[in-house]
Amino acid sequence: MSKIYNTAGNPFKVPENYFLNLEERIEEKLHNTEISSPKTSFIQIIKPYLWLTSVFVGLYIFTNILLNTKIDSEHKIIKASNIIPSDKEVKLSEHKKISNEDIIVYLSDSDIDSDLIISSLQEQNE
Amino acid sequence: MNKHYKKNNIICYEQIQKEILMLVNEHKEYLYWHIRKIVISHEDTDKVLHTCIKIAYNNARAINNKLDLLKIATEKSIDFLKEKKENDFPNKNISIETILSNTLENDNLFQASDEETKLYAASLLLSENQRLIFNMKYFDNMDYSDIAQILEQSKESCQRTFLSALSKVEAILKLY
Repeated sequence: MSKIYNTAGNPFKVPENYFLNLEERIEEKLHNTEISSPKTSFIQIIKPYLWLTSVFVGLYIFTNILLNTKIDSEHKIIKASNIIPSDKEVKLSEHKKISNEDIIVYLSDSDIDSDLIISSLQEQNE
Repeated sequence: MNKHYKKNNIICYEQIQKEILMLVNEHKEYLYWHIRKIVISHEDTDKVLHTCIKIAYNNARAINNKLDLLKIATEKSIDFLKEKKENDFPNKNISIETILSNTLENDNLFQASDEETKLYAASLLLSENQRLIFNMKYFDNMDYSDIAQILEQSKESCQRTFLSALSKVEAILKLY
């Protein structure tokens, strides 16, 4: 990199003995002003304990959620197994042991049109 | 246990502060000239220098080397110039570069040849970032890595900025 001009020396000057007195002036100013030392606040003291507490609380919540989902899924499996029918075809009357007479009584007691019943039975037979 | 911890902490911190003071005294002249090239005036440089030293002393844990001091010095110099513009020229639409050019013209402690005066005057017409990098690279011959660390920019960005600043200064000097 070429210098634009040959600036030999520093054109900026300082008052006489400025740097000789500078060290003393620095120390004097620092001792005159308030020197702050690190203050350990209450929050800084309890911070590590807060952190530990939050870790344990988090673990507790996490394990609770995990256990609850396991129990829930087990309950669902039990419920599902009750709903899922067996491989064999199960007729309602055989499963519940309802007699045909009971069915006739039920149909006659209900307000279902007998013609409708007959037509549906015919369709089934076809 | 807390009292002992606090006492030991304070003693350690005082030792760190003593080390910072030693570091500052070792580099005080370099710091001074770094600030002077930014703010131009000796009185302003003195103020900024003491501010920087106080900050370094009160944040001793954050200071590890000369570059950290230079970083503080650069930031405080820029802040000082902005405050000076707001305080001394509150309602006027005047740029910091113009203020510095006037300061340079009227500074009794600036004793330069015509060529040097033109060069420094041209450098004052650069933008803030260009001028900082130009000062550090051209006048102080610092490494780009150090400049990048001080200004928190990338090395390549500093290089590009310096080259554009250099070409701008050359163009300005051709006009004289």
